[in-house]
Amino acid sequence: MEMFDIKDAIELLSEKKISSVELTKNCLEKISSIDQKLGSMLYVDGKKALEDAKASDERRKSQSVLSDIDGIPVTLKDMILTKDMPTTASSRILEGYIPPYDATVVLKLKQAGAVILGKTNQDEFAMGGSNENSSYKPCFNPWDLTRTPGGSSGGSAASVSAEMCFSSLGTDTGGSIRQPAAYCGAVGLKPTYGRVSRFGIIAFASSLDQVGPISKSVTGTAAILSHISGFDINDSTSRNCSVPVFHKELSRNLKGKKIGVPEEYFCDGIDVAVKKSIFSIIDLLKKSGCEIENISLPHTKYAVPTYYIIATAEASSNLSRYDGIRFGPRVGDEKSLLELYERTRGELFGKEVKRRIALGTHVLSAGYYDAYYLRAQKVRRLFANDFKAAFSKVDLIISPTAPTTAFRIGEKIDDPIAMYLNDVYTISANLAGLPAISVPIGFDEANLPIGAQLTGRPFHEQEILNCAFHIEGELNLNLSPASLKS
Amino acid sequence: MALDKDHMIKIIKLARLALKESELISLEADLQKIVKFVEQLSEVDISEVEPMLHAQEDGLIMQEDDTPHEVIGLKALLSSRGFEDGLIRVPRIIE
Repeated sequence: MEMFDIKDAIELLSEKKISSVELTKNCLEKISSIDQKLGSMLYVDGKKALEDAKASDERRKSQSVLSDIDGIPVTLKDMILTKDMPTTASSRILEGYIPPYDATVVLKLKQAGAVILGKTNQDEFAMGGSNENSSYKPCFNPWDLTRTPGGSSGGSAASVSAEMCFSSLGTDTGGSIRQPAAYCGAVGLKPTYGRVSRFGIIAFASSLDQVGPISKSVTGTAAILSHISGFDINDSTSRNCSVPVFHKELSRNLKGKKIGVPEEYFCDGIDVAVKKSIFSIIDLLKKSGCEIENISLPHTKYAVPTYYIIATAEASSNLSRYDGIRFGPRVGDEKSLLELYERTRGELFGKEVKRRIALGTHVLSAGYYDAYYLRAQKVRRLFANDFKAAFSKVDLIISPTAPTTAFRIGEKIDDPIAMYLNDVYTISANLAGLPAISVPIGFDEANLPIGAQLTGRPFHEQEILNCAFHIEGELNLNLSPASLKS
Repeated sequence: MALDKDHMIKIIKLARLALKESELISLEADLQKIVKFVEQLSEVDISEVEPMLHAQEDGLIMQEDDTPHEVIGLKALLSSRGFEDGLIRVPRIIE
């Protein structure tokens, strides 16, 4: 079966040319034949998925489908709580943990009839950009098994790219949906902060985290976004505003749209192939009737240091709950309570998580708070102001998603700063709370996918989706990785 | 600023992390580099700038102080490996 776009699946399901059981079986067969070498899945419940698919087919027979994605098989990043599946955030500190409730996004997908296949691999607690920080197993890029799928939602992007599901939910705190989507040749969208409920999402940095979809196509991404968005009484940061049916309102007409090109995004460190591809897309948009305008986001240089102060400060607080008492395994239970806390956390958190907890503790500690944390919050305001000024002139902003294509496993693991700098283009959208999408725009000389990032005004997801839809339609790329065809 | 070993010991104590000596040395070296890197922010003029605490500053809602979802109680306690007889067992605190 070569069909892995949700749009095609929705059509075939509604015309009764295919069943959800057939789609689900096909996904499960792919998982069983491919995932041993890919490592994208942490947990699969094939039996439950087939039961849910069968129930979907019954609904279709009785003309009581729940939504247009009823019967579509999806996967979920392991940061997302599922009451009938383990949720570990790829950490040993949550090994065997089965949450007592579903995240709001999971409930919404279930209410829409989506078939949940299982949980995907990721960097531990979403801290990383290569999936190498998973405590359980490595995950590889479907386009080149010696390379990373990106991260932290590496398993989600790989499972979509390798056609083991039709869409996957990831989380994005500094680029963790968009960067792996770019590396794996998929479409990934981080919604505006507040568009999607964070209730039931394991918190990394609460003022930055958002859940969003990764799919093979813009239509698929938009369809899943339509179903997971909306106000939630359980998340006071979710916004009570109308939600468009994004996939039904997609338009390729960009005539008159003003697109900003930030000069600071094309400096040192960007791959020649990535730069060339982005400029060819800018030309394409110009020919399609868009007005291209050079803009400045003057504080871009400070995005990564600002992010690593704010995100680690919030993480050090959020992760204090993992102490061996309420969740997961315990170490040092036989001695004092303090030793139980310290040994459980010292032995069961991975290296990068401990590094970030220590940094966050340092920047919040007495005598350092003002110099680091408070200063970073003020610089964050300057980022938001930069974007406000830019969006007074343009409708959306185009940039690369990442400065390079997928790097080799192990290439950056010993150099945390080099790893952090990989997020330079994606972090600003999280700091300012803006929606941003990564859409495939071509390949480098090693046939590795390149992604373009489109950033929009708050709650203007439709605008970035439309632009991505136009680019996708113009390029018509083949996004099936040849390396997995046997 | 340079992080010395005493400060590192204070940090990992505050963070409730028991680390081996080799881990502490490696963490100290990493944090030295990272702290130097984030100190670039001292170049930025932040006078008269209000801190931005959140990306959703104008749309937050107030909620009733209640529990609109049934997630607490026994189901949540069951997640603990120390759950016994309706309680969570921990090591002795008072000698």
